[in-house]
This record gives sequence, C-alpha cells and structure tokens, in this order.
Amino acid sequence: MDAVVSQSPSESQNSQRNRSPKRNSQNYGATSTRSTDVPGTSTAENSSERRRRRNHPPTPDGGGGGREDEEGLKYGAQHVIKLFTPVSLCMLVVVATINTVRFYSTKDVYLLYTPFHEKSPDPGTKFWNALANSLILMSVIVVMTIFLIFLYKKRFYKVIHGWLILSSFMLLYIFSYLYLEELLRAYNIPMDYPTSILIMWNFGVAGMIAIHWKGPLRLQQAYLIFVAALMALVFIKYLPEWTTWAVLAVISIWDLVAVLSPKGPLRILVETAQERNEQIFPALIYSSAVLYTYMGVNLETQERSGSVGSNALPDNDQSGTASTSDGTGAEAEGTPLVNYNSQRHGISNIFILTFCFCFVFVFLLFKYFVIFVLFYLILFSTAAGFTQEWQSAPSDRITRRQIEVQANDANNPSQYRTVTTDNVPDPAFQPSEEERGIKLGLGDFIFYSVLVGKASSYGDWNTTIACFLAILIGLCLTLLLLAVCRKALPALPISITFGLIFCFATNAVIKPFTEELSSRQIFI
Amino acid sequence: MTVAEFFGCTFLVFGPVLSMFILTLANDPIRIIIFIAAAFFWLLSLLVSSLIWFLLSPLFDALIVGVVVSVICQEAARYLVFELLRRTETGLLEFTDNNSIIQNKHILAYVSGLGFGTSSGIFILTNVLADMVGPATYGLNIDESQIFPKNNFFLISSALTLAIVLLNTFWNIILFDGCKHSNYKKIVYVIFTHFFVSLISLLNQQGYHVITLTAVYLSTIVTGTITYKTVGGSLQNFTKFITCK
Amino acid sequence: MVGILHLSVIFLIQGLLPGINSERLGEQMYSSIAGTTCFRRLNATHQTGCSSKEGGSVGVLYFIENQQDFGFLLDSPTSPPYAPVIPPELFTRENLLKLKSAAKNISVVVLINKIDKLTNFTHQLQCPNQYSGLNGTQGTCDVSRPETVWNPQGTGLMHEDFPFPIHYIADPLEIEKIRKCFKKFNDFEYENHPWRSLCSIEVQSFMSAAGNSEICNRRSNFINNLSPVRYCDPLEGKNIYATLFPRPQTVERVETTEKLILVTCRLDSTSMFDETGLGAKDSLVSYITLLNVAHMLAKVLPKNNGINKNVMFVVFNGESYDYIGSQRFVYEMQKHNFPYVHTRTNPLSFENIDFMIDLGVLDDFDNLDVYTLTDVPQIQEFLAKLKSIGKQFGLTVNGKKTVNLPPTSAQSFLREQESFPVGILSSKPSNAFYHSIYDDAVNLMNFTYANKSLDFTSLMSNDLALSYFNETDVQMKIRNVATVLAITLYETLTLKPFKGDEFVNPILIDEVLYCFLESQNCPLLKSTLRSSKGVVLPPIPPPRYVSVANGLREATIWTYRIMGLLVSQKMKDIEKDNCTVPPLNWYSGYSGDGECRLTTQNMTHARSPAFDIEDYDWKSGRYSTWTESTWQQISARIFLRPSKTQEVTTLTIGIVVLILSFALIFLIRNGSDVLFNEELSRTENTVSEVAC
Repeated sequence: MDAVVSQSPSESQNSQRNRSPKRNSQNYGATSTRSTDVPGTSTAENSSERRRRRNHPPTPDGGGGGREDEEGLKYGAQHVIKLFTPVSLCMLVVVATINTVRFYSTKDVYLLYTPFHEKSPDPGTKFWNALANSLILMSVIVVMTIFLIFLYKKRFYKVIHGWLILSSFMLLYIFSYLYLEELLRAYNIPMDYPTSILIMWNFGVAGMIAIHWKGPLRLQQAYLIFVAALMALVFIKYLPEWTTWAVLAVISIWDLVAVLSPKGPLRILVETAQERNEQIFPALIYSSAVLYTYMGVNLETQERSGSVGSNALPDNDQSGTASTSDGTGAEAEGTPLVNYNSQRHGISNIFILTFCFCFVFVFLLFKYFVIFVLFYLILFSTAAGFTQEWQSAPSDRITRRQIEVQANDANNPSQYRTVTTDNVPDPAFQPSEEERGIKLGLGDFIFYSVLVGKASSYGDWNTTIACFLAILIGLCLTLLLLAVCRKALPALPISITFGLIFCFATNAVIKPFTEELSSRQIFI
Repeated sequence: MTVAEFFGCTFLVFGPVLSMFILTLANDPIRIIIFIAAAFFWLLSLLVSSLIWFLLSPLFDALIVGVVVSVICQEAARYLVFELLRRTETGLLEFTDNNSIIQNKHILAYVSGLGFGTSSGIFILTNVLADMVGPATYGLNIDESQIFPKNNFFLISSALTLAIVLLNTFWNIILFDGCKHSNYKKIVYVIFTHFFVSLISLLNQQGYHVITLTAVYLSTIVTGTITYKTVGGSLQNFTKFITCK
Repeated sequence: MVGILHLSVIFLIQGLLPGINSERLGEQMYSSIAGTTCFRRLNATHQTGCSSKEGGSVGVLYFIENQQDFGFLLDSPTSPPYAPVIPPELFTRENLLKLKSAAKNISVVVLINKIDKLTNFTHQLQCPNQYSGLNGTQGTCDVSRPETVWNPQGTGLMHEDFPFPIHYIADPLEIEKIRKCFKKFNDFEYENHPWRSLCSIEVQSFMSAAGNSEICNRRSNFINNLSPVRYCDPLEGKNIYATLFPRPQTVERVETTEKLILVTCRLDSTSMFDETGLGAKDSLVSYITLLNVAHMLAKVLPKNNGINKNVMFVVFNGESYDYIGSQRFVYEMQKHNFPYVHTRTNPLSFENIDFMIDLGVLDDFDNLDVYTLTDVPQIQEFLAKLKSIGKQFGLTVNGKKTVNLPPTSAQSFLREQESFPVGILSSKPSNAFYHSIYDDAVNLMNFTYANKSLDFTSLMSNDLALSYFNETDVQMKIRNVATVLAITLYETLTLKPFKGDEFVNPILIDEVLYCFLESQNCPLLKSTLRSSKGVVLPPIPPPRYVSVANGLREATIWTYRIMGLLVSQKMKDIEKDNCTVPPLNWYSGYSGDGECRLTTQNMTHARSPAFDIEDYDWKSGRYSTWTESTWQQISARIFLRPSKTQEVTTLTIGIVVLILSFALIFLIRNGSDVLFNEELSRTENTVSEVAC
C-alpha cells in the first residue's frame, strides 16, 4: 500500500483548477523524462535555459513538455534527500531506543491481534503461528481500509477527522507517556508528577496543533517522525518475534495489491482524492514540502489568518528570485493561509498565542484533571488498553502511507502560497494546493523503522546498517520507478524486500565473516 | 569507562570521512545519492564474497580464500559502479543543477570511492567500536607482551581502517580514470595494491603490526600521490598551493 | 508471496546450517564469572544488603591473603576503585566496616570459597528477630549482655547496608580464573597501577528498591503507569500443616471445643547470598525431627480410638525474617480464618490449643531444654514425661522458665498472649555457621549419606537401627530426639505407656537429609510423586530461603508432599483413578507401585499481615515488614580495564585527526583550482576563490 504516489493530475483536474486564475498557470507535468528525452539533448545549454525559464512566468498551457518534466527530476534528487533525512532520523530514534531502553526489546505481553504467541520450540509451528498472526493483523488492516474508503467516498469527513484526531491524540499522549516513562526508568531518573504532566501536556497539545492545524514545518515534521518512531517501537515491542518479520512481508504484499490493482483500496482512495482535488489526510503523510490543513474554522483564526495571509502575499518577482539550490522554495510552499516559513514571519502570531494559551491552561489544575480523567477513561474503558488505539491505528496507517509526487510546478517553483480563505470551498477540508515534492506515508516510516529496529535488537551493527542501506536503496529505486511510471506506487515492497534479504543475509553470512576478519585484524 | 577509546577511534576513522562528507558532499543531493549507492555496491560485493567464504568454511579454514575473493568482488563492484555511472551520465545531468559533477569526472569517482571506503570502514569497524563502549579494553586472553603500550588492538584496527577508507577513495579515482582512458597500468596497479594491502594485513594475526602499518601507510601515500597526479595535480601546483599563490 | 518465500528460505538456511559461530570481539574481551551476590532487603525502617551501581560496579581485582593486605586498600590505593577478593576467614565485621568507610576506593567485594581456616561464619544478628519477639520485657536477648544472646558469634553483616556489591564465588575453577588474571596483570609494581591496564571485575546487581519497605511498597502499588513495575516484593511463602487424625468435615463453620496439641518448627533458612545457604543445623534438624515425630505417630496411632485430642504439625515459613509465617498463623487464628473456608473444617482459635511444643535449634542433641515463659500445667506434665522417656534414649532434658526465650515461632504466640501454653524444645546454641553459606552437611556433624536403599516408610527397631548406624551418627542422634518426642506425645494422647519396640527410622532421616542437603533427585522425593517412573529431579538441594510470591518454592512443595506421604493413612482397595479428590491422594511410595492415602496436610499463607492490613502503621513494629528488592540481572565478569594513559592517548589521536582532517579538507576544497589545476566553473555552493 502504501505508498502512493499521487500522480500528476489528470485533464479534468487541470480544467477544474483553471477556474482559479492563479492556478491556471500551473503545470502539472510529472516527473521523469528519461523515457521520452533523448539523453543527448540535455546539455548544459538546456539546463541554463531551464534556469532562466524559472524566472519567468511560464506559458499557461499544460504542454510545457519534456523540459519542464526534466526539471521535476532535478528537484527529485533534492526531494529524495529530503525523504532520506526523515526516514533516517526516524530509524535513528528507533534504533537508539531499542539499544538503550530494554523495555522495547523484551517480549512479555502481546496484542490481541496476535493470538499465537510462538511459544513452541518447533520452527514449523512458529512459522505457522507467525503467518496466522500476520494474516489476522492484515485482515484487520484490510477491513479498516475498506471502512475508511467507505467513509471517504461518502464524504463523512467529520468522522474521519474525529478518528484521526483521536488516534493522534492517543499516540501523542499514551505512547509518548509510555516512552517518557520507560526512558526515565532506563536511565533511572526520578521525575515528579507535576513536571511530567507539564511536559506531557505541552508536548501533546503542541503536537496536536502542529499535526492537525498549523505550526512551523520543522515542528510538524519532527512530530510526525516521532509519532512514526513511537508506533514502530510499539510494533517491535508487542509483536512476537517471527510475527514481526511475517507482518513486514505480508504488509508489503498487501501494499502492492492495494496500490496497484485496479480495485485496490488505496488506489481508489488516491483517485477519489484527485477527482475531488483534495489532499489525503495530512496528519498521516510526511511531505517533503509543507502541509497544512485547515480544520474546524473558527472566527478568530479566520480573521487573523486572513490578515496575515494578505501580509504574506508576496509578489512573483520576489519569490522568483528565491534560491532554488537548496530547496527553500519547496519548503515555502503549501501553506494554505499563512506563510509561516517566510523569513519575515518566523512563527506566526497565532501560533505563539495558541501556544501561550495552552501553557497558561496547564496551570489550571482543573483542566489537568479533566484531561487526566479523559485519558484514563479512554484507556481503561477498552479491554486491553491498546484496543481502541489499535482499531483505529491500522487504518490510519494505511492512509498514511502515501507517496505523492506532485507535478512540478513549472510556473514558479518557489512561489509562496497566497491563497486566502475565499478560495476554500469546503470549510472542513482545505482543498489541496499541490505541493511539489514527494510524499511518503507515515506507515512507510513505521515499517522501515520496524525493520531496522528489529534488526538492531539482535545486537549486531552490521545487520542494522545493511538493513538501513538496503531500505534507502529500495526507496531510491521506488522513486526512480515513480519517475518512470508517473503513478502512485507502493513504497514498501522494494524496500522491505531488500531490507529483509539483507537483514537475514547479513545476520547469517556477512556477520560471521566480518567478525572473523575484525577479530583477526584482517582488512579487505 | 572506555567511552574515551570509543570516541578516539571513531574520530580517527570517521573524522576524515565526516569532514569530506560535510565539506564536499552534503550540499549536493545527487552526490549523496551516488555516495549511498556506492556504499550499497560495496555491501553487495561483501555479500557475495562472504557467501563464498560461508560455503567454503565448513570444508577448511577459508579465510585467505575469503580475502582474495572479496578483493576480486570489490574490484568487480568498482567496475560495475563505473559502468553504471558512465551509462547514466547523461541522465544524471537531469538530476542536478550542478554541472561540475559531469564536467569533472573525478568528482563522480571521488564520491563513489568515498562511498565504497566508508562502507568498508563501517562494516569492518562498527562492531569493534560498539564493543569499545563497555568498560573493557582488548587483551584479557593475550600475552603480556601484546598489551598496551606495546600493542593497542583498537588503535591499530582504527588506523588500518582509516587507511583502507582513504585507499578505497584513491583506488576508485585511479580505476575510473584507468577504465576511461583504457590505461591498463592504472587498473593493474589498483588491483595489485588492493591485494597487497589485504594480504599483508594477514600478518596482524602473528603480531607483526609494525610491518603491516608501515606497508599499508606507505601504499596509501604512494596511491595518494598517483591519485593526485591523475586528477591533474603536479608538484608545481602543490608548491603553488603550499605557498598560497 | 515473494516475501514469505524468501523468509522461509532464509529460515531454512538458518535451520540447516547452524553455521559458523565466530566469536565476536566483545566476547573475547570479557570472561563471565559464575557466582552469586548479596541483594537488598528492606524493612519498615532500613535497607540491608547490597547493590551495585546501575549498569554495574567495576573494581580492580586485589587478592587479600592476610589482615595486613587491607592496608594497601585503606591507606594507599594507587588506582582506585579496587575490588578486594577476601577469603571467608577475613570476611569479618571489622574488615567489612572498614571497607565500607573507604567506599570511594572500593567498588566491589568478592568473597571466595575457602573453608580451611574457618572457625565461624555467621552474619545473622546476635539476637535474631530481636524486635519481633516478646517486646519491652526485661531480660530478653540483649547484645550488651553476652549471656543472653542466641547467636553469640553473629556479626550482623546481613543487616548492614553496603554501598558496594558483595559477590560470592564458590566454584574453585572460577576462583582460579580470577586469581590467574590477577597474577598476570595486577600483582606486581603496584605503584605503576595507574599507568597499566588492570584486570578488573564488574558486578551487576542493581537493586531497584531503596529506602524502606514503606516507600517501596508505595511506589510499587501506585497505579500511575501503563506498564506497572514492582520495585520490591514482600517476603512470603506458605506454611504447611497436617493433623494426626483427620478433622471432622463440616459445612457450617462454628467454633468447637476440639483440643489440639501443636507441634511446630520452621521451614526456611537464609544466608547473605542469593540461592545459597542450606541451613542444615539452624533449621533442617528440627524440621526433620518434626517430620519423623509425625510419621511415627501416624504409624503407631492409625485411628483415634478413644483419644479426644488431636495433634497438629505446623511447619512455618519465613521465620528467619521476624516470624512471618507464625505471625500470619496467629493473625488468622485471631480472625477465625484458620483453617481456610475451603477446607470445610471448623475454625480454630487459641482456646482450641491444648499446648504447643515448638522445636528450636538442636545443636546439642543430648542436652535439651524446654523453655517456658510461665508455669503451664500441661507443659510441666509433658516435660516430666519427656524427662523420663529421654533417659531411656540418653537424653538429658531440663525445664527452663525464663523471659529470654530462643528466637523461635513460639514468640509470635506469646507476644499475643503471654499465658499461651507453649514449650520450646531447644538446646544451647553452638552453631558457628548459623544462617550462613557454610551451614551445610559438613557443619552437621559431617553428615554422609548412607544410601541403604531400604524402605523408609516403616518404623525400625533399636537393634536394627544400630546395625546400620553408629550411636554417634547424626541420623541416630536425630532419631533419638524424634523418638523421645513421639513417645511422649503418644503417652500424652493415649494416657497409656508406649509398648512398641519399633521407633523412628534412621533410614528416613538419612533420606531426608540427603534430599535437603545434596540432591532433590532422591528416593524420598520421588516416592512422594504421583508417578515416579522416569522422573529425574534437579540434582541440587531445594533452596529454603522464603523468597517472594512467584509460584511455590521447591522446599514448600516437597514439604507438602512429604507430609502427605508420611502423615497419612493408607487406603486399601482404591484405584489410582478414583484417588484424585483430596483428601485422597495418590503417592508412588517407596516401591514405586503406588498407593492411595488419606491425607490431612494443607497450606496457609505465610505473608506478613502488614501487607494486607489497610493503612498499616509501618513504624509500629507489630508485624514483619521485610521485602526484597527486585533486580534486573545478577552477573559478574572480568576483563582488562584500560589505563588512563591509554584512554587519553586514543582520544587525543582521534580528536587531532578529526580537526586536522576538517582543516585539510577545507583547504583542499577551497584550493582545488590551484591544487588540481582546474579551470572549471565552480558550483554556486562552493567557494571559488582560493583560500589562504
């Protein structure tokens, strides 16, 4: 599934967009040109021409052709790195935790979804247990996906959002609290309750705001990475040994089916989203560009954002001169209302205000209490603590895993978004402004990290690094395919297959060899 | 606690790599991707060679065979990277703004060589480094004559690994150049020095660390000089550089 | 499918080729040391025992051969912290307290097994359980008055809190290993220690509890987190009891006028180190005596024809820690909750107890005393009988009325009711290894297993017994005491003189001693199983430390089974399949053929009431409050600790190389035009001017 790359919009989308005068200049040429271009033609001259072109408004027609496509590739490399960094960071968090906090690598309790606990010493039985577990887990995921698609098709946005908010709320509070607790325990650091509640409250509120509403890009990215890492840790902790591997394999196969088959649920989801010209649940997608959704309009913010938005309105010239070399252009995109990333604004006033507001709130003990009670109610009203979260999580996961390569905005790649609220047709759901850049679902983050984390739990660094390299190369290949195919692609299969092969091969074959070499000080 | 030893050795091996990465690679995405790809190719060659060793080792102590095979595999992988880069050269241009990477072929060679070297350094040394973090140092079961300061296992391992990392970078540049201009002398030189360095490190088991270190660093200096010539340097330039003119 | 396929292929490869297991470098750097360590226990006010630092304590090995060697550690350690390796004769209170006061130079203490020069080794207090006996009474055990103490050689080290772990190494091979390492790396040129790599030991035994039981109990029970963690657990186990005759089964629980004689002893022993300490002399002797008394009575009195009294044998658990078992027993009796409802018998209270005989230590088998607090007619009568019967078996028994009572379970009863009719059968304490690792078979009059392979479930005449054992063997000594006690009880019950000529079987004593001192894989324990065919039990003695509540301890289970076999009546004509519902139980028996027996034994909790009473006042001292800290792992390993010189050299080289390489690469990058003769256009990102 996972990774859907949302391809460049279809004709209908283009026409739809043409309604807005700002947008009709945008060009959704997708990515690769390799197949079409004769390599010899791309010369230095060509590229300089391209550079020049960037400073001028492009022609409005969508037929900019191969040259604009080439530009997509150019930024493609940047975006690949921009994906590598967070994927690596996420893995780093997981690996570091696995190696320092014993809690996450010890097996004691398991999820309800994995009824077979692999207690038998016989590998055959273990294998069937693992397979059965992973199939159960997968069928839960399938059912949840279909349910979600149903909701989406029927436009039950409120339900979906409630769901997403609830699950990210749980992730941010329960799992983070668990993490904090285990971290403190691992280092034997005493901490009093007021302090930890203060930390949790602020952390959670800031996270909810950053993920679901608005916040600095870096903050949002950091939260998404952290949430993915937490989820991966939970998987590693609560899945039986062999089941983890089986789940990885089964999920990547499901990914393949869900994205590529004509009736695959994720394909349907992506296509529907494109038809409606909407973003796919932003809370669940890591984008190399900015992503904000506009959720629950309230008067004050609307007012404020309106004004700030107009302040932030830049002219084309200014944006045109922005440097394109290190991708600031891409970061600056996609803010529906306010441009938080422009140097002038830094963190927006609203954000500061909200943040302070939360801070003050923390000191009202009453609120503490309410939150606390709520937290426990949710936790204990369900059978196994995690159940509720887990029911929603798998489906979230599915929706999270999306890669979207958006068409390169041939127009003006570094253009600041200046859309105002007038342009919002649906108050509950900001229609997507296409971002250039590649989007990777959080689910991919999670499963990549599960693989690497699991590999590192065996205590051999070579295996960990081999897995890491294999996954990155797999990701590279997927992105390359993406450029060739120009359609949504699953991000898991190639990477996970590579990762699994290298994990086991390294553990079985390379490890003894390198250990032999290093203990005898032989260098090859 | 020998966290000190850990950091010492890590800086020693990966300090130069880190500085090269940050100062020459980090700004250009395409270079990072090539770097990672080269590292992956090195890993592939390691996989193949260790697979052969793995299959042979139940039969006899196949470590020497493993070393020989792995040198061959590495050189093959190096050539593979060269071919790959040569064929995609034109395509690469589309991925980058930075023309220099195409115009100066040595940059590609250098970047992939560094990937090769880093990968080999990591796979040889990371587990050793991880073992250093504990409270112990090497030497519980060895002769008294081998104990620091007479011999320091970690420091020697790290120094040799550093040489290997640098050598890999140099070899890559030389080999790419040799392949491009069909200069067989260079190709033979690379393969020969690689064999020489790997095989001479077999002496480490017998405790001839001084010989190994001297030989390996001599080869590094010689290879480095040849590389310098290959990329267009000369004594003249060097003097000019030293005197800041 | 591809994923699954390659998964299965990999698994196959891994399964088929167990492969080449080369040793990782890290494993060559360490060598693990088998042993056990002292751990932390807590009571209401203090913590005792020891704990390592979190992540392990590391010290340089230093063998101490004589008293003078401490000087180096205490006055002029050259490369602290050190780990002194101490033979047991130097493991004295003075030395340990000296080390404790120099704790910044001492990180680990290693105790090695070396019995040759040892005269005494007991780390219990001189007055065991001083504050949970008769309190406030003048004349009880008092350290300042040596004539009143019960463990005169006790050092009390078990009740000290040490800032370093104390690791005990019993295996001579392991001791040799660390000695070799010490000789090779450390034992020369001590003044050069700071500049050399030294052989060191790391002990990991970090204890998670701290402070006292109250704090730790509060932390453990605080429902605050998603993954609750216990920091300490109360010491607890099970008391085992059995009655001579089955008690009437009733549905309604009413108090009765039933009269019982209690015969009690304790089950547990303890020592300073985890999973060690056999407690041969300090508790096993009285335990075996009780079993044999019960067995003989069950043999000679199969039915209670015309006897209006019953005998209850109780084995208390956790008595080493402020009488946990007996406190709980008394507590439940007072609450009319003994025996438990599920036994369908009437509850018992103090009024039902005719009198109680408590077995203390029997260090001197020939000279016994019966201690009483007050004059109780029943006890006097019993004592008189005991004296006269004892004479026939060469025992001298004296009555002693005193407030300085031996530290036994009886104190829990007397504490609640001073007039409680109890006599403590005990001898003068002379055990120099009380509650220690050396209270073993050797300490118990050099016990050697006779292994006669005879039926131990029958009684044996005097002549026959003497043909197997000498009069001076420990088996015969215990037989005498048990026989005297059994006959006295017989006469007390039946009010008739004992006429039989078969007494307690020394073979049975031999067997029990073997099971509890040498190996659980013994005929007696096998015969208590339902089916003994092909069963191989662990060849180690069952640990008898009370421990905490995680399943039943071996010693408890075996006591329960032994009581079932020995204190019960054989039921003829009942098949194995019909013999499943208690009180009917099937035992394989000595022959292994199996027999159905009507049993009376049962268990009760031995957990201090302090942990079950709401809002218990921890400081009140009313009940035992001992808890044991939890820990992650206990391990020890030796390795070479690098010298500071080595560390600093390595780090310096690393940092210099790092800085140099950054500088060099920066220069080369910026000067690449000149250096490489490049005339190429520069990228926007790199600086094109020549540096310098």
